Amino acid sequence: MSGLGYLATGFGVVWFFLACYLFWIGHKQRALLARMKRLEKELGQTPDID
Amino acid sequence: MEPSRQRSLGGWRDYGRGKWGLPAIAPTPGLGALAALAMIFATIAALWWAPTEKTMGDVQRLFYFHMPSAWIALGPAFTCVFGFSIAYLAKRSLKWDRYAAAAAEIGVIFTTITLITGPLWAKPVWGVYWTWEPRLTTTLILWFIYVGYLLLRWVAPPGHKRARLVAVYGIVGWIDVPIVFLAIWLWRTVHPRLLGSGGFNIDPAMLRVLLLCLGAFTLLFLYLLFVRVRMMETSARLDALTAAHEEGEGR
Repeated sequence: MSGLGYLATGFGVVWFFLACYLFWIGHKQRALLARMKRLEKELGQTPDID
Repeated sequence: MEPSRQRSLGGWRDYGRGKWGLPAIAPTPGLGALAALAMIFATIAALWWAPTEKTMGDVQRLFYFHMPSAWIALGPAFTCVFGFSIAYLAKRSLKWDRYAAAAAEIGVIFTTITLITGPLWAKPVWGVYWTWEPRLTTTLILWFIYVGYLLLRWVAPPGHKRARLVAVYGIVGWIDVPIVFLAIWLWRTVHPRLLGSGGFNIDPAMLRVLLLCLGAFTLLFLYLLFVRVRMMETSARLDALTAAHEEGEGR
């Protein structure tokens, strides 16, 4: 592999990692909020967490 | 319910709306947009604006993402774990435990990026992907320490007992951070020394790009820290709600 190949692989890995991490955060947060809203509606309360 | 609490709850409830998951990951949309723009600029600067290094050629441009990734892991991320762990032990507030956990996770991600981009840069320059020299070895140990931190959080049941345990681990584990930083001065190593007695040992044009990349990565770190903490808060509230729900069903 040439120097440019290593360079492209390196930048690709960084952006791929960050994109996957952000996608996972967004996906998980939406799922958590949807479950929480459903439970809040059933129980009619918002809990204190600390 | 007191008015300040109502406001804060209203704030995080709204982030679940919208398409493509964007509102769900954007509790601080201004910071997110700024971090995204800075990262795009940093990429353009590293690939096009930075001058080509004489002996290494274009592959040296990996340095502009490799070094800021290492900076985020060693500087803000793992040092935040250390600081937030002390804050938890001092205040006994789970808020600091969540901040420490988020910083550790982001630190592991950036250390992984460092450990991948480093060998990709080393292969065409040193001829090998990996060598057991002090900086590389201590960085790999650091990665294992904080992966251990995340595993410990994962296996232990949530609560103050876990928070106390991981806080002590986070404080003790930080000992490797100054060792990684000082490794190039303490032992013989092939790693370049960027900082000398007269400041940075690089060309001013390269230094400008490096500083831009350091700024962009720092903004990204702050944004990721806030969104990850927000997610952990949501998860903790959900656990509390689930417990209340089960209690209600049990009666």
